[in-house]
Amino acid sequence: MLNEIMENINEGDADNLLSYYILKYRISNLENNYNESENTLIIALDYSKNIGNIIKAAEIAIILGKFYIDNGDDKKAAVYLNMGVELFKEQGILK
Amino acid sequence: MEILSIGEKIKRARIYKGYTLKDLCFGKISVSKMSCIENNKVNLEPEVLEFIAQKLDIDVNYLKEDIEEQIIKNITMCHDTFGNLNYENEMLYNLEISEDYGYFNSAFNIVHSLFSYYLRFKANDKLQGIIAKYYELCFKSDIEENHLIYNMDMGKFLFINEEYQQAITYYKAARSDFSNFLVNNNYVMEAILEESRCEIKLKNYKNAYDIAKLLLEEEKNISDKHKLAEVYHLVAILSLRNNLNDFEKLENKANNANKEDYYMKAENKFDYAVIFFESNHKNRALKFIKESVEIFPKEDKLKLTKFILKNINLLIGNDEIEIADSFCEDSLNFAINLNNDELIERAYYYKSLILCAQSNFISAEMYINLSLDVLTKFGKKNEIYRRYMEIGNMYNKIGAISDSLKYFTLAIALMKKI
Repeated sequence: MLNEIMENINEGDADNLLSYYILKYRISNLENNYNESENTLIIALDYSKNIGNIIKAAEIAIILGKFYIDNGDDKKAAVYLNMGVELFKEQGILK
Repeated sequence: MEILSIGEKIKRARIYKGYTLKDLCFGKISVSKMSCIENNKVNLEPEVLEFIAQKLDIDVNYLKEDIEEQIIKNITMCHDTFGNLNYENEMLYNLEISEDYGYFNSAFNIVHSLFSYYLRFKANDKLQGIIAKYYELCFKSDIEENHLIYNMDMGKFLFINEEYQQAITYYKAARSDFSNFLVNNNYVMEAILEESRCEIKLKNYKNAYDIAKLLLEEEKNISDKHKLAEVYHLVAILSLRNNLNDFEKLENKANNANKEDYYMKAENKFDYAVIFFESNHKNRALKFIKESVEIFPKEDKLKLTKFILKNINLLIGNDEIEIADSFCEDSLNFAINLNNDELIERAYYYKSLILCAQSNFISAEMYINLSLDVLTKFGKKNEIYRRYMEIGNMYNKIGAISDSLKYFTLAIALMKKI
């Protein structure tokens, strides 16, 4: 089904592509596929940064942080939490 | 209240009594004339009116009351029930009748009242829907002052929609239409005050000052002391904004004009404090804050608590944590005694910010969670979202990574529902 969604996302349809990545991450996470989950979120994070969707990038950084903390990697969790906070600050959402 | 023409009133009363037209005529009036009377085709002579009233056993004054008189009576009654559920429907009904019978001055008064009603409840859709009719009636009515009223209302409408530049156009039109200050004291004063406030919103402080100064030139002609105090206060604020040297003089004048109104005196001092903080004159800002809290009347605890909380917020925003803390205990106690959730939430929240600034993170965490508990009772989703974000940020500052991520995740999940 994920493949079918991917095939139907038009080129340049950034919002749907990001939603696809998040959905893919959730499924991988439910399947306990650590590497696939991690890679998907990193790709989504890079992509949202590249297209200039900073608020989305901040959210994905937080999701990534949560992913690492749930999997016992406090150091990486702190790195991505910090990244998320900085991006939120950049957007004026946090002081 | 239903509006009936004289003919309709006679017909209804006749049918209610079970009379035929012939019965009512009683040989004194022809049946054909009575039929014309009931269909409003002829004007009634006073003696005929008396005769019919007597025959139908109804009050002649009730019968005499024409459509316009009934409309005016209805509008007065509606004003007494301003804000009631039926207010809008009653006014719309009277508006329709006024227009049908060509009473455009009454129709204008109704549409003006409705416009004010919608403005009060910020019913933007209704306001948009009524503007065309308002404009049309402004030109159909033959009272010159109505143009001024229309311009003022349009100014207010644009102001609340943050269309300040356009609002200025209407206020300018209002005051240029009626340039004789002595005759139209209140209207012109209101138009100038509002125009100046628009310039303030646009941060054109020089323009705002120049406009407001027009009122100072007419100070002897302003009889309403509260309005005069408002004028002095506005010019005093603008004097500060423009770094002019007449602030003390104007502040004194505003203070004297407010006489025993200590609520206004305190609010004015708060306004000065805001500007002094913005211009980095912290000592002067703190002096005004202390004075404002001191003189604020203590009887009404609800007003007092709201005012103290407003001051605490200003102090926290300007890093005056110790003074904010000194006010916080009182506000929290008052809020709890008042059993007012919104005030309790604010007081807990400010207390947590103060504790956080004092690096007392354990207590700060407790207070922010207390405020969150209260906020979830009445807060809108976007308010709760912002609070989750702040809590996430606070935990991040104190290095509680797991808690921080938990609250940011809650915020992100909630954001999707907004």
